[in-house]
Amino acid sequence: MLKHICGQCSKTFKSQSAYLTHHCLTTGYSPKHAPLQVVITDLKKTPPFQGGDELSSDMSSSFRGNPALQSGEDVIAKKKTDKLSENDILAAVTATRKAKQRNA
Amino acid sequence: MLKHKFFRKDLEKWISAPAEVWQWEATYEDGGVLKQFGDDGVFHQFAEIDQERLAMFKMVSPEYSQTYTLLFSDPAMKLIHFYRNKVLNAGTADEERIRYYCFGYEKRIGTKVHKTIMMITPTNDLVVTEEPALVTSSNDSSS
Repeated sequence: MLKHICGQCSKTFKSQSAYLTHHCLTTGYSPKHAPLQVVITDLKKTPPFQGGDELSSDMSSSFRGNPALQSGEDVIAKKKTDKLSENDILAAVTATRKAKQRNA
Repeated sequence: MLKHKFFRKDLEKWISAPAEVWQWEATYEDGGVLKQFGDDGVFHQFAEIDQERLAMFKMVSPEYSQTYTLLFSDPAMKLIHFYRNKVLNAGTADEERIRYYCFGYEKRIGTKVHKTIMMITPTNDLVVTEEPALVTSSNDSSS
């Protein structure tokens, strides 16, 4: 089952890690440099790292050799997804309400 | 399980409130939460919700893990909550009573009032409609 699609080139990935370390030859862009919000949203839906399940990635071998990177990403995922919860939504809603009240 | 009660002013006594499959929770701008079935055993009525400060309205269930959340991003949104009860196969051996949990909001835009209602069905699906009356079965009666 595919979980990640580059979208800019034709590569697809099963693991979050492979996706993040993918360097897109079409755009020269790497998802790991994407805005944090985008990365976190994607991590939330992704199970823990499973190595070696890339379908067409040439980055898998270098990734496997860097366990520190694996654990680092997992930590970010947990920390941020926990925080990206009701409090954030509530703050955004409240700010919007106040802005609309001011403009009413 | 905790039995919730509420105080009937007209009768001047505490009345037990039966548990609901879906229960509301109102979250205010300051983060305060009012639960229909309070953690302290008090049943809260819809009228107790302070809509001036309402930021989020959630339907939660002690039985199911899903949560349905409505964001009150506009102070002009007025909360709506009601039940739609149905009797399927009324008067037969297969008679069954079901309940739709309806919540949503209305909002005045110009001279018109627009209404959006979410209906949680007995199978826990969500139907969004402007006309809850449209969600009916052919062989039922409703209230």
